[in-house]
Amino acid sequence: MEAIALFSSREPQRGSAELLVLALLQDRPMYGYEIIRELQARSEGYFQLEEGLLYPTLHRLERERLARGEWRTVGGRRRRYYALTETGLATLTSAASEWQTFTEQFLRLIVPRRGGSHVVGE
Amino acid sequence: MSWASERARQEFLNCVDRQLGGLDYLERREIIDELAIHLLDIEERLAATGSEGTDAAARAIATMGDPVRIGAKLRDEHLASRLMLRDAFLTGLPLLILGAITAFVPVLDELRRLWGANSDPFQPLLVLGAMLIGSVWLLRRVDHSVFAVLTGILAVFTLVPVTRIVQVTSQWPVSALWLGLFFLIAVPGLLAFVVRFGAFRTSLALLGGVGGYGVYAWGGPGGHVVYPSAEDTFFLLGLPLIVVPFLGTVALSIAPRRWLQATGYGALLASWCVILLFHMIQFDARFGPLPSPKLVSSQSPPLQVSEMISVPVLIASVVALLGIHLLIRLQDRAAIRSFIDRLPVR
Repeated sequence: MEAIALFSSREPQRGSAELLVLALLQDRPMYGYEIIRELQARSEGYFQLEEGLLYPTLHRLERERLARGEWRTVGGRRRRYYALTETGLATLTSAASEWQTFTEQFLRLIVPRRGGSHVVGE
Repeated sequence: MSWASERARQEFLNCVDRQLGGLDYLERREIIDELAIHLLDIEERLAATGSEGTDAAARAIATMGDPVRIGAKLRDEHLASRLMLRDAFLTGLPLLILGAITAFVPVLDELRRLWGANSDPFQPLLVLGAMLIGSVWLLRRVDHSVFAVLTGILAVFTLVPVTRIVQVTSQWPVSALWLGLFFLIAVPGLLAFVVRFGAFRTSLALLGGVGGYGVYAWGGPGGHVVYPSAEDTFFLLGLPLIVVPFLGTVALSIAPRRWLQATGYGALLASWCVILLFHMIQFDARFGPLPSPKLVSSQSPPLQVSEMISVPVLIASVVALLGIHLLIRLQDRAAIRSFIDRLPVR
């Protein structure tokens, strides 16, 4: 299975990286590096990314009030933690529903039908 | 960490920093700090797996990606919020101008009265300018929501009654203090409101505040025409002009559905037109034979600047409100397009 590059022009669906980040932040506030590790672990390496490009995404989510950033010192290291906002959760819920409908309809149409396909010779 | 790895990391961060032109020092420092910590995290993970020194630093930097691209994207994100703020101001500009006319002229009259009628007319302007600069300075250092709350408190509890006190008592230290507070807190508060709630809702709140101020300014200073009593004025005009739009805008800002917000905006707009119409009738009544207004003194003082421009201002208010409404509709269309772009369908 070929890995998918997030946060880049090769990202297959625009906006999907933002939704993945929002989905991760549902569990707890996280800092950038933690988000990357969590994303890779949960996707079993399917999603690959230039880690630095996570930050423009995080700052955009913050600007759009979908996430809120806050500096905290944990274990002697000062990090910026991002938490999901109410607006972020509403956006995520709405987008998840849209994606589900789209995927169901899309797969229903594109899955090849065994035995029933009408094909002609080349 | 070795000197070489430290240097490599610093070069990467400097390269990002060079792309952050246009951002202020604090913003840049926070961005660089965040990236530096991320680099350290990667290096520590690599060190744990046996990779050390310059090798770990080089691999960490490679993992981060192109610093020029990262810096450019971060700059775009941060400047985008300023562009949004600029757009918000442009959208609300007609009403901000109206606010300047309806509120600042009475305030200038008031300041001139405090300094004496023969004082330099530019003196109050200099004071207002200094207060405005102070407001912007404060805004950059305190959380926006603090100012939004302060604006609400000022708009409802301070502006109207204190204006009345200022006009009635003419005690200049009290007047100067409250006028100073108004500009020092309310102006950045309104800016914060624009950021938090958008230009339209801010404009309505602003118009509510300055409209109420205008009513009281017309009613009082220098012993001009007044309404039957301060209480009547407050409950008949001040209260609906300030409380209705202010609470309405706050309530609408938290409305969960777009259609509810749109309906609410329409209702608010309609109620505003009614209030303004009522206001215009009151204005006409003041100069006609109707009994409710009365003169405080037997002398007929000359009209103030704020009184002479009031009718065109009120007409312009309605036109501006309709213009703002139209702009919001256009913005909504853009928002709908943006939403469609985000859908997985191309």
